[in-house]
Amino acid sequence: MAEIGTSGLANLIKELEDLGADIDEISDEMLEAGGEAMKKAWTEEIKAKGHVDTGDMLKSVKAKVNKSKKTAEIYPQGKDKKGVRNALKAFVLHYGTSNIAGDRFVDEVESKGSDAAVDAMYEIYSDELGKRGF
Amino acid sequence: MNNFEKLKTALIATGIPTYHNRAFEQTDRYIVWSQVAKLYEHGDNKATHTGWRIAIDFFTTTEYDEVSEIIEKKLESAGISIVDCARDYEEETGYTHYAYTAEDWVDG
Repeated sequence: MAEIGTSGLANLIKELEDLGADIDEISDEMLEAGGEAMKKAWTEEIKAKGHVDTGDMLKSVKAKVNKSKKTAEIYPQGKDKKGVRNALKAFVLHYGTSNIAGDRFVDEVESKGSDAAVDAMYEIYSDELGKRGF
Repeated sequence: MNNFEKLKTALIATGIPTYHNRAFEQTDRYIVWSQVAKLYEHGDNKATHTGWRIAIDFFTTTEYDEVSEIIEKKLESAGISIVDCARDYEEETGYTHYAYTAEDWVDG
């Protein structure tokens, strides 16, 4: 499922560190902002594709943040009221079965969400540079 | 306009019953394909390349079916890129489902 991390931004984080910034706090903020952007992409695409019945899967989309690894995994989590894993429902809706046509909607989530996540993370990075006169 | 001729030709060349959007008959082996999303690449504020994300679903009751590799080779020969392949076994139907996601790009 969708995963974002700050490892790809290591050079940017290093630049901020060299400028005296609290990189742990900033990278956590960037991760949270990117996670929220990806979560929004998930919920918008679930609604756009009409994959809402009880709303359990829609409400289950969360960002699972690992601060030590500087990553966040964003996908439908947990189980619904009938004990069915919400991630499994997303899998079936995405890939389909012999009885259900799969619409590959998670590809749209990742495409739209990753752009929005990078923008959100860059905004925080840019603000931090701005505070230091750059 | 993309009529998906090279895709259709590639899939029909496998010799497996092939359907667009919906299988009218679910035999021991069959393929269903459908366009799922339009793709765009941009440069200078305009689309430089467009294409389609395509779902290609191969269903088979044969374990370790070599036809899945034939499908991949036919698509590759036709210049259609496979970007994802998931495999799932359906307990209720006995089908093994190979779910391919492919991209078919054209210029402009």
